[in-house]
Amino acid sequence: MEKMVIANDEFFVPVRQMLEEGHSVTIPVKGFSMLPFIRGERDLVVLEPVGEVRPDDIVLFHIGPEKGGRYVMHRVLSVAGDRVEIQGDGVPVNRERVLRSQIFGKAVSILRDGEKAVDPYSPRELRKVHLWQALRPVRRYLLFIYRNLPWNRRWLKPQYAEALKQYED
Amino acid sequence: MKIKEGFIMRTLCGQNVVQAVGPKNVNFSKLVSLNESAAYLFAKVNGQGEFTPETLRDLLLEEYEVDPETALADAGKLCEQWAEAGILE
Repeated sequence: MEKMVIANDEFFVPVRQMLEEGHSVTIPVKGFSMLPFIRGERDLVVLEPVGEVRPDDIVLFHIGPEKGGRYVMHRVLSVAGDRVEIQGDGVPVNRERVLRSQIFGKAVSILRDGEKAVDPYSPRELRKVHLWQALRPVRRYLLFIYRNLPWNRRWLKPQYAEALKQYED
Repeated sequence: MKIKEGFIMRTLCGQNVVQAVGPKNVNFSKLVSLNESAAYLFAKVNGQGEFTPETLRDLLLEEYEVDPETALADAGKLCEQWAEAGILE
């Protein structure tokens, strides 16, 4: 089937609208900033309207126009009142600091290869996430190894590694 | 045949696309894109119950200057594509 490429903002406007009306929404994932937990071009994500935002939540949010005004899905690191700090699992250093009002969806299920549903907040998954976060000082190298595993190279083409660079310092 | 329940057409990036809107989940991962005439036909038959390639041919003849044979051939092809995309039952 032919792949249809739609500009980020245009794609997410109806997604956001559906979430705001209370629907759950299934979306494809682009990019690799949530590696190794969500794999762009392979996995799908089921989103729901977001209630309380908590650390470890994978959230869809809108980053301000000063950073390109795009919609991004990353993981919450910490919440302090209305201020939320977010970072992609596959991003070595950069973080986003946003307001609660910029967040409008929470991932409730990851469909591996579009099929096998994984609960991203099961104790088992969260253990992996916390281990991954503890290894943040060497994340850059782990990502390099991950991207170059023979079975990953096939789908993680060089241009995607290129796409990750925008998140690096 | 008819269009399955729960499909809607919307415009994304200037393209008409058909999307599954379930009672619980709206799927943005599978979109069926339609050209202008397919979008016209979809709008006409969605929610209107059973139709055949002949129904689509007649609708095409109402709107476009085309000979009936070509219209029927195109309608048949379109039905096959829609069936393949899983929007017919």
